[in-house]
Amino acid sequence: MLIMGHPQFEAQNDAGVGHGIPPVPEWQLDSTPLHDDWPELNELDIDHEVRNVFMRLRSVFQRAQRIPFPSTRLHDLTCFVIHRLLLSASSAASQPSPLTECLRYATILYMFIIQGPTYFSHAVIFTRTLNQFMGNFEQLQATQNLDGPLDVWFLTVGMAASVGTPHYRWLAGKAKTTAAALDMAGWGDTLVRVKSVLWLETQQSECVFRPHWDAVFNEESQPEPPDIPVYMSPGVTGASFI
Amino acid sequence: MAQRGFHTSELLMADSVALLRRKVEDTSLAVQDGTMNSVITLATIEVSLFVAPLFRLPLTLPFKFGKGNTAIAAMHVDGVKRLVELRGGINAVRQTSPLTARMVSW
Repeated sequence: MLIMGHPQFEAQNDAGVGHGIPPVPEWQLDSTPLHDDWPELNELDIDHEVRNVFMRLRSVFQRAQRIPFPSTRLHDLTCFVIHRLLLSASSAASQPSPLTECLRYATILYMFIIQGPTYFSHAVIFTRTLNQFMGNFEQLQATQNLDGPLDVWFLTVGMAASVGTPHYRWLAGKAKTTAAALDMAGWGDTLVRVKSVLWLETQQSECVFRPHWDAVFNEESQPEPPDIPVYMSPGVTGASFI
Repeated sequence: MAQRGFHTSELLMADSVALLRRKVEDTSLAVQDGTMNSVITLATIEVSLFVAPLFRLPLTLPFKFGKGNTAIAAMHVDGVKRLVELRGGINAVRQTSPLTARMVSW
């Protein structure tokens, strides 16, 4: 997948049926309670498969707050989730909504970020995913006013993913206006919203995402990436197979 | 020094490819974990390094950097996918060789 930029194998369904990449055991736990705890999501224009993958992932991460989640499990979960989301993108019969695509690509970016590089560099597929996310996010911002936790989560993932790219400045500016609109005063206000959407507590979670919001909340600062050792490989810009 | 090192690494790569090609031409050796791991690793090297393709002849060809290497990488990926099929699919590989299944599916 990382070499070709798209999945090379099928993924199994939620029940573990099929010959493809299987889900982790936690995937099959009932995600119904989580659908109930965020009813507003059901009212948004999001395709079934993306919503389903997202809610199940959310369920797995909420469970991980109580029960340890081994790194190899995260590794397998990341591979499975990215396969499901990319496979459903290529098989969509009609053009999905910008919100569907934002959620699809932001979730992929988030998984890449928290997992980090694996056996091979994921710079190329990451850059491509970021561009797809940005195209849809800009469209979404022009047509729909989310102004809630989901918007904050998109900005959080987007800023962390776009360090070193031309997208960063636009996202940081957007984060500034969103923070003002939502009366957010600091990272604590951000974290509450981000955790209500999708969040896995890891040792480096805050180090990766927080500095960008700290810079946003610092009125003196320009919308530039903070001077931190940003996590990962995707900072490589202009990487391409062609 | 750097140039000599690069030249040496090319020779080593050519040796590696030749050895690996012998393995992929023998089905019983081709489906071994080590062979599959090596081929998929070679595919990743292909996108940035000149080497001859494993799944076709001959060994010495004037391949281009960039787009040409992507084609060779794709050839290696297709080759590994055929080996996965010979072993009963990616989930079957995973049952006996989780590391290989992970390397190949990523």
